[in-house]
Amino acid sequence: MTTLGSRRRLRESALAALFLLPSLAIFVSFFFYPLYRLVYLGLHQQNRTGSAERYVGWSRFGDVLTGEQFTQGLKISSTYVLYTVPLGLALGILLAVAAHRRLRGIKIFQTIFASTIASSVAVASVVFLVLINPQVGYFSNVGFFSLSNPDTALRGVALSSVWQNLGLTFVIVLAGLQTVPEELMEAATLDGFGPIRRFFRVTLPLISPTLLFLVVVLVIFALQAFAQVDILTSGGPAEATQTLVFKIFNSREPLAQSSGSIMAIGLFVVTLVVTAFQFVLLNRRVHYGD
Amino acid sequence: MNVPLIGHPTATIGAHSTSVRARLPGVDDDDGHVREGEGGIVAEVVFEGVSKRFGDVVAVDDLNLTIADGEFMVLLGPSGCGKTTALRMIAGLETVSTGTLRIGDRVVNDIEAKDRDISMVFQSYALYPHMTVARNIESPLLARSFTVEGEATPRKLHRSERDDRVRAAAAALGLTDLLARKPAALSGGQRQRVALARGIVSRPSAFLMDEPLSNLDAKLRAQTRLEIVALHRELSTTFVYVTHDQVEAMTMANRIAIIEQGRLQQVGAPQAVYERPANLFVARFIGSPPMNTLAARLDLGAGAPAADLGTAGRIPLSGSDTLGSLAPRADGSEIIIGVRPEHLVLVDPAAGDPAAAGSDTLAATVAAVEWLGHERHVIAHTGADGSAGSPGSPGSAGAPIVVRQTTEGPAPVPGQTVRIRVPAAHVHVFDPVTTERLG
Amino acid sequence: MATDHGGADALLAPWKRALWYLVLTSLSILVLFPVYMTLVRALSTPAAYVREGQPLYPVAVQSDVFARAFDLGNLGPKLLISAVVTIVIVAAQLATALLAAYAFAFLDFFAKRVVFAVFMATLMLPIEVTLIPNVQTIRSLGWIDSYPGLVAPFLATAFGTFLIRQGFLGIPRDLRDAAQLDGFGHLAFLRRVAIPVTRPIIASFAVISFLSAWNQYTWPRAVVTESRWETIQIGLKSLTSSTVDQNNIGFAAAIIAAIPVLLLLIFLQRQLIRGLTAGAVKG
Repeated sequence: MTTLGSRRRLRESALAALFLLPSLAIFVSFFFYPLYRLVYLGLHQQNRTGSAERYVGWSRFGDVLTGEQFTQGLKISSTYVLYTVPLGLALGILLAVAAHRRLRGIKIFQTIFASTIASSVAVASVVFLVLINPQVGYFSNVGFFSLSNPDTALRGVALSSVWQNLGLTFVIVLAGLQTVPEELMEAATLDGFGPIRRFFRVTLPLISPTLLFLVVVLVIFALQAFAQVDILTSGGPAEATQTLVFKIFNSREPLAQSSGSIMAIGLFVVTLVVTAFQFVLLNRRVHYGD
Repeated sequence: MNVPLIGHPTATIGAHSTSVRARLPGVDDDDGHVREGEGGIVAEVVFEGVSKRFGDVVAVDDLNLTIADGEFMVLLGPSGCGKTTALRMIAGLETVSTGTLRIGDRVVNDIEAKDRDISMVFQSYALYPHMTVARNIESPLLARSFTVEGEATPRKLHRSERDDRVRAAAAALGLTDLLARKPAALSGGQRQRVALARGIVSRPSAFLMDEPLSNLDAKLRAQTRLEIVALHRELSTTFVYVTHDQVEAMTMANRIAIIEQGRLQQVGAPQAVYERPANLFVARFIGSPPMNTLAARLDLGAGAPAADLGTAGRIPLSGSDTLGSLAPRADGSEIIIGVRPEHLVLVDPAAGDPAAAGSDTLAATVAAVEWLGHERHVIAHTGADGSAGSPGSPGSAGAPIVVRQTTEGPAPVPGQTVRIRVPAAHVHVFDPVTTERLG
Repeated sequence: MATDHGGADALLAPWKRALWYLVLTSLSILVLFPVYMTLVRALSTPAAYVREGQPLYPVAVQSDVFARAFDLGNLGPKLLISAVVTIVIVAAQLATALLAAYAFAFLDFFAKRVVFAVFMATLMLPIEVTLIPNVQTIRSLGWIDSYPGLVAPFLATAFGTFLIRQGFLGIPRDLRDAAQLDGFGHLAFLRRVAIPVTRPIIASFAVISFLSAWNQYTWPRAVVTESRWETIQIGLKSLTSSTVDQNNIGFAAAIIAAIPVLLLLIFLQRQLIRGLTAGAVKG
């Protein structure tokens, strides 16, 4: 005779398998199998139609990861991170600090500041076409972020991202600010801290885990940048805005699949490093915070 | 607020009002004793050598306990003693590691919780927050099958049958006006009554309660105690009630089972347990303030055994009912004597009280006096000089003693030297090693 | 936005208050200017607007531009495809995440921690990384230019599973025990208790799921080759690049594409913000 305990365990295991199966099927098919395929495709060169392939070996990885395509893409993506993340974070903090106070009608301002959440990357890109399109943009004559100059085009693309992510950044920083206990601010005031000192000595350290999370999110967004490039510049001028994902996207054809897959693995590793970095930093913070 | 007894304004405690009985869902035929449910009529709960282990931790250790049909049994003990685990095993929420658990004539070790014909009131009440009071009370009727009178096989109840039972249970607990509310809109006491109504609606053969009063304030707790006792009388169902509160145990139980570290210490009627605690744990756990316990040496003397407390004095044990079991013990062996605070009498030698010179008194020094309004507690240390000795060693001075007094008469003052009379008839004797009662 | 308490600003001097309004208004203009200009450009006749020297106001207003966007830009079918894709993804993610979250929260099974780690590992694999092999898979299944191809990789979600599992774990043990005594099986407990009790969290996740499904770009761009299978987002590219003399239609289309999410922001702000800040802020 089976006991109640073993019966329950058996039943729960069967049910768990049933409940997890749909998700696992998707994850295996579209997350883990592709990961294996990336390595496989990296090791094999396809012919033009993809009807035949030959093994090219691990040396291909070294070639691609040190090659012009990948290093250029990585450089452009990294530059893109540098253009978007600090500026976006600073603006988001500015908006959040400005809107984190007791004033009549503050909700309206908060909703306005959050409003770019409604804009997708594609919508934001079209909106920035209005502003910085080389032919008809409102600011088309501003050289600093001109889309027609290879040296400045990436800045223009970055601006659209900064604006598009402003709503999310604002909402998250504001939520972080709202967790800072009011008594702490009052105590700091009684200690004679002025508003600037209060912000840098009390507020900023307390919301630093939130900011760190945000930095990682924004970095990953920037590393995944594709739609803004696709819509605003199509990778031009002179390939100056071809981010890593843009290059991967355009390696879908059989002939380019091998190097495209290796670049994708490179992107994966970069993403992993960024996330691991967050964990390490966050754990240290939490530890010291105690 | 004067909460009517289980919602019935005319019912009074102790009155076996048939009108109340007829309205209660657990009892619907004439003699009021035949209940529905698969388990049959007899619903005793029997633990036979039941143990429960969580990994290396033994939560319940070889429990042997029979809870009689219709009995109000309280499982009493400090938190973490295993009493809740025992209750959860009856409910089927925990499996039995070893041993046999029976409800009625069925071994339920391997029977699902829902098929055990029991219901349970949780400490947190466990009301579904998103359901109305009516849906909450109805919930035990939805998925389980019930034997309906006049039908052979159990089945799910129809909507109208469920509604009838919900209405009856709600009426019995005075919840009729609250049926459409959600738990968040109820007071703590009302939530507690909803939990009780949900318990009785399925007409269980055993009703389990896990600290059901601990979330109520003191006044409401006293009221609800009476209501639960009345509910038990009306349902005449087996109640198993877990608490760490000895007042609840003493006032509500037919019998108390005291559990400590997973082991059953003593079972008995409240007064019997109070009067004859089986061991030191029970002696110290039951009673407030707790029983005074003092280390002593047995002095068999010449046919008149006594407890030798060294410089504090000698207490004759001749009146004690433990006398017989002392005889075989060696002269000078260590014992622990226990006396309840209300049995001690303070005598003032300075006032020329003749009793002060009696041989059944201890020298002590008053340390503090606590006034409780209706009584006072005198805390004294044995020994004439009040110097702190090591309370564990026999006969040493300095062991604290609490004397319970009425507020009449002059109160002693701290620092005063007194004598405490220890009536031999009220002395309990324990073995310091086994902690068991002698006698 | 849940609360609007600030620092010690309750007793601001009037001039300080005025200053803050000035700052807030300036920042609002900065944030809204791109939207305003898009509206101006959408309403203006393109050639006339350029002739006028690109002013800050609309020129030769085409009040019918939004209607024309549907006609010339074929927005109707694109919006429909986006709507179907979004609804399927949200519904499927809710279903798969609820079941998986239930298993992780309430069921005891072999290698639970490992399976959970496997779920969480997918968070490290954005679609951009797996794009090439996934497009291959979709092509070999014959799903290029089809609904299955547009939705398949997004039918399960580790983020949603995690979020809902956290909600489930917040259900008191007593409530689960009571349900067990009531004879609720796991499915009944999920339906009658777990889902209703965690509804706020589930709603937040649903809103986020909607937002990301509606706004998707890279994946549909990769698995759609025919314009009749374009979602509204990737339709924007073809609209803005194909109609230079009628580019205001593209701008109008961008505004239309943002409207569903704008409605979400207005009417489900609480859920949206709770979902967006989940994980970012503790407590």
